This record gives sequence, C-alpha cells and structure tokens, in this order.
Amino acid sequence: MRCRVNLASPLWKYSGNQAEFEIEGDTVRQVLSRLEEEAPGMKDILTGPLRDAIRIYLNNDDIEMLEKMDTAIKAGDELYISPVLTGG
Amino acid sequence: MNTRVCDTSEQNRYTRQMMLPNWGKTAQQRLKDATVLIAGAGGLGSPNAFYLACAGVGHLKICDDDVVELSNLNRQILHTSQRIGQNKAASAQTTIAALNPYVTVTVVATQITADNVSALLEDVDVVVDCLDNLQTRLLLNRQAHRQTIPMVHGSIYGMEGRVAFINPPHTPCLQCLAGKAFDDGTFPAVGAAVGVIGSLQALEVVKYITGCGRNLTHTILAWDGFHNRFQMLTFNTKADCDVCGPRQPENAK
Repeated sequence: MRCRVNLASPLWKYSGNQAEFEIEGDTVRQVLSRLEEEAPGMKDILTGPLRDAIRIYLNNDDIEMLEKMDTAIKAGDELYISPVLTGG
Repeated sequence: MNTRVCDTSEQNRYTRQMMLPNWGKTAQQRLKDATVLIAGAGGLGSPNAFYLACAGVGHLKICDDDVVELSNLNRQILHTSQRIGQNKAASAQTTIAALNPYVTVTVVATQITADNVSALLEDVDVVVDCLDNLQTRLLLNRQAHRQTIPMVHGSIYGMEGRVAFINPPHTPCLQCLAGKAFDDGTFPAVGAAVGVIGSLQALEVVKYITGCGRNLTHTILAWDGFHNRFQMLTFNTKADCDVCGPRQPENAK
C-alpha cells in the first residue's frame, strides 16, 4: 500500500531536507524500513539512539495505541513523525 | 477575591469579549480573580503575557531569570532594544503595566528548580509552560500534577509548534509524551510562529478560567507553519508514566 510520510521540521536535517515521502509498505515497520533506505540519515531517528525522542502517528493516532510497528497500512494512509518540541 | 470589575473604564476595556455568550460580568470577574503563572518570558511568554493582560487576568506571576539580549528581539515582543541587559520578567512587568494598569504583575527573576517549584505554583490557578528546555518543562509538569494545577503546554521549532492542555488528574501529562529530549540546543524561531502558538496557549487559559469553549485535552494541536497545516494528534496517558500513570500509588483510584 502506498503511504505518505510527513516529517516534522526538526527531522529534515536527517532526511536530506525532504519533508514528505511516498512509500510502499503493508505495515508501519515496512514503511519505516523503506524510509530508512531512501533517507539513510534517518537511521538514528527510526532505529537508533533518538528513537525514544520521537512519536509516530498514523492518520493522527499515536501508533503506540495501535499495533505499534505492526500496525497495518491502508492505501492513502499518512504517517507523521515528530519529536517532542522543546523550544519556547 | 480582588475588587469587583465595576470601574466603568475597566469594564469598557473588556466590552468586546463580554459580548460573547456565557461571558458577561461573571466570566470577566473570574478572570480578574485569577492568578496565572507564566513560566518563561521569552518567545511564547510574550504573546501569553500580552493577551492574558489584555483579557483582564488579575494577577500574572511572570518567571524568568534570563536577561534581554539583542538576538531575542526578533520574537520576544515583551522586550525592547532599550531593555537589553534587563531581567526579562522585570521587562515584562514594565510592558504589562503600560498595557493594562488593572493587572498585577509579580516578577520572579529566578530559575525554576526542584527547590522552588512548589512555592512558585502556590495560589496559581493555571500555569502556562513557555519554557525553552525539556528538563524544566518536566519539572514543572510533575509539580503541577502534584498540586493539581492545569498546565497549558506550548512549544515551537522554527515555523511549527504544539499546544496541549494538561489538566491533572484527568488528562495525560507532558511526561507521557516526552521520552527524552530530541535536541535541547539553540532552536530556530520565527516571531510570528511563537505568536501563533503563544496566542493559542493564552486562549486555552482564557477558556479554562471563563468556562467558555472547550479545552484541548487528550489532544496535541500540531501546527506546521511551513505547509499551513493544523493536525489534532491523539495524546494518551502512558500506563507506566511515573507522574500520572495509573500504576503510580498516588494516582490509584
């Protein structure tokens, strides 16, 4: 299934300054794995030391309240990846 | 309780908001009787202080130990070029006194620490989180939960930001959201962007005090100014949250 992935702006420096991706995958895990292939700089964020500093939302729902990385993706779904912002 | 909002010139000041359904003299008096802690008098603290003072909140406690710097002035509209070097909370007091003489401002020119956070929250009805680092935000969150004081969280990065209304013990808290800090270094900030987020925070405070409207609970409002997008993200209590989670003995029903 084709899924849109949007990144919050603090992540752009890890994604080669790209804010949006269109990625195929049946689960969140597959989509994120292919995102990491397309944007290797995202490794630290998705599976590395910064993983605990981000939240992942599927159609605005936190995947932690769904099936986490095994959450199924439907055509047209949107993943949003964001750290907790701390600036004020 | 403060004096009644009976002075004609004071009432005239609030005429346009008092026109709203369910506002009138009662809600206006609630604002006058309220004490709001603004934690941080920088980018987010600026629109909060302005709009809460405009709205007629009777007592603003403004806390910031920092001094005004030239590089603050692209966004921190409480301060001026002439006040560079002055404490930010004191500078805020000067600005607010000129804006609305009916508002009392208490200047707290100290850093928020584990030793003073409890006293800082004493007699406070709502706290506005306008801080610039996760550690102090979490400290404030923890103590606000202990003292069951609602906290309006706001945060920004460049041209995007977040707002959430945390109302202990009924809602998730900031600790549920924040595993660890992503990047607590110097962050980019556009003045109009902190204006958007700070104004939304101030509106949450006003809605809570007056009882008009519905607060942003169990939701994070995420605003992306780069792409003109507002999203309502789900915000849930973490079962193992060591502040508000149901497994904490002090939170047991």
